[in-house]
Amino acid sequence: MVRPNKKNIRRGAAKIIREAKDVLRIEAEGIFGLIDRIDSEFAEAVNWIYESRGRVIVTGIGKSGIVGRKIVATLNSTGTKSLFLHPAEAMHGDLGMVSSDDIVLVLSSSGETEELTAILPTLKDLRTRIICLTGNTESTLGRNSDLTVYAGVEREACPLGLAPTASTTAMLALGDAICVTLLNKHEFQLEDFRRCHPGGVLGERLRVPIEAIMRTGSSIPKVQENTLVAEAIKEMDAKALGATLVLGDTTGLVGIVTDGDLRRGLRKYERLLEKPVTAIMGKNPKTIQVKDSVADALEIMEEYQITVLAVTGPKDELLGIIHLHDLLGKGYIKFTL
Amino acid sequence: MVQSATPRGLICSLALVPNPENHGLYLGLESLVAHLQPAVAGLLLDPMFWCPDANNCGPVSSSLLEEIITLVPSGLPLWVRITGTSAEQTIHICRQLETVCRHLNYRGPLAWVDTPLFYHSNRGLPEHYRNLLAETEFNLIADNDPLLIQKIGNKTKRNNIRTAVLKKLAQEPRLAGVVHRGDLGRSLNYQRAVRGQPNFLVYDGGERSFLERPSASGVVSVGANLLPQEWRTITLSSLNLDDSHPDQAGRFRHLWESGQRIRTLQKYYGHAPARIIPAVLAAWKLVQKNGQTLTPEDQKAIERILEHVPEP
Repeated sequence: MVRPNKKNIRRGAAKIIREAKDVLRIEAEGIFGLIDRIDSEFAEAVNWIYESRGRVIVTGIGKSGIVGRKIVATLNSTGTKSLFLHPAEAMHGDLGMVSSDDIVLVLSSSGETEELTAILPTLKDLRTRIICLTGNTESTLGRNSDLTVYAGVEREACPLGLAPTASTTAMLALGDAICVTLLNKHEFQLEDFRRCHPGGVLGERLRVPIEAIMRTGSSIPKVQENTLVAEAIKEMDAKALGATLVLGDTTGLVGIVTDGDLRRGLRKYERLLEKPVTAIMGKNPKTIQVKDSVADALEIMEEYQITVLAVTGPKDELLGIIHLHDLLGKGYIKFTL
Repeated sequence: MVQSATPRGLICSLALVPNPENHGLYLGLESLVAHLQPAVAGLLLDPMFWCPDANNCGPVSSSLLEEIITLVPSGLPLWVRITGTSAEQTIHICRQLETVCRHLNYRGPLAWVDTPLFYHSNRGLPEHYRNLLAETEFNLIADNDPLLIQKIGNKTKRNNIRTAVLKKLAQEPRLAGVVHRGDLGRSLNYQRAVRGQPNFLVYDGGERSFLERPSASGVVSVGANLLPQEWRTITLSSLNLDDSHPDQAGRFRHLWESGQRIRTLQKYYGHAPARIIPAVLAAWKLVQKNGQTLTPEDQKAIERILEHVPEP
């Protein structure tokens, strides 16, 4: 691919750049324009949501609906329970999700969206408090909402009114303003954010290399192959992983004894405690390379339905051990992200 | 509720076709108003635009205002240009037209429109407008038209109302807005300057500017004389005033086609709208022919427009 430079810049590029800058200026001005319009109505809207025992039901259609879904996502991830209500589905039963404890946040640039004005009477009957974000405070929705927050812009960036541009950007920004002020009011902490983002935390964990979280040195439960089962149980008990690795004199890792092996051994041998571990151990235990990731370890554990893996180096030398709980951050090893 | 004289939306500069046989009268006003009235949010009376020579055209006459007031349905906002050749003459025109309104017991919605740099510099403009507003009970709209000022060879230092001056003007409670006919950058600056006055509107005077990057206040259009419904469609959509679209695909097609028709016609009348638009309206029999001299280029443009839009 040839990257554009001053010599090979294509015809029309200057126009594209100029127009793109115009669009960004118009959209930026749209947001700037809202700064002076933030008033006590906005503060009251935030207080209503903060004090509400219910959820924030966000509704809108078209581009406003898409903005609404983003506001729902941000509210939920910052500790305010929220749901999106599609106005068309609302007419066909989804209004059942709304209770009188909820706050309904209605998004409409014109304030005259038919699908929204149609559900307004039912929302009123439910005695739900309605907050409207609109560019036209004198509109049907603006006048019939309990609180109306101005979300208009001075200019749109799209020709012929084909698509709302600056107005949806402004509405999105106003939604963020609501979410962030709520977040601060809730005194939302890092732990709260983590609780709301298990996917994100897990995603981070999955990329962590095994060597960063494996148990090493004296933390590894291990016995020699001539060790009696009684001694092996003591080692398993002390290291609390539900297993111990079995090492040969010269050959390194030769087996593993797990809680399951002990159960099966009890049924097979009357005097199990006096038997060598080789009598009950599983041979050729599953291993993982030290440079592999947590995701790789999880894949092996899932495939073989096991909870412990020995960690080996490039020459198959034993370097550590990993338990399923360590991978999930619930065990001895804690993740700090 | 009393209708505001400065609505958001489409303001059409009514095509004023002088009657060659009777000075001060205009042709086809009744049919033209009937043609436009269902589509527009307001009408502008602007003889200065429709006159062949801006330097030598008279203001809105008392008889024209009287006729229009009787023609327009009550409630339709009316904008009337009062620009004279000096501050004193502008105030005089305003007083004279105000008398007509009083005489007819007409209380609006009406706003005066003035291009101050036509006769006044930026310096002292707020004071001049305070004096002007003291003479009238109606609102005033300032018109910023740098091309006109350049064309008439005004000796004032600037062709545009300075942003800082507009900021001061906007603090006058009855200065309701500005029509800006220049570049986008200045328009954004104007909008930023008047943010403290949420009721102050910044209209696009340039049709092309509005079609590309529409102001949320609206547009003053001359082309709406030819395609009022198309202009209405585009304006409502651009201002997010119309949000009921049961058929989204159909809506986009309608918007696109309306926009294309407007742009196509604009391409033809753009070089001389004051000559071409009345001629097309005459061909449609909405106004009578007034015998104005047309260039070959004008003739060709009129033929093209009539090919695209054979009738209103």
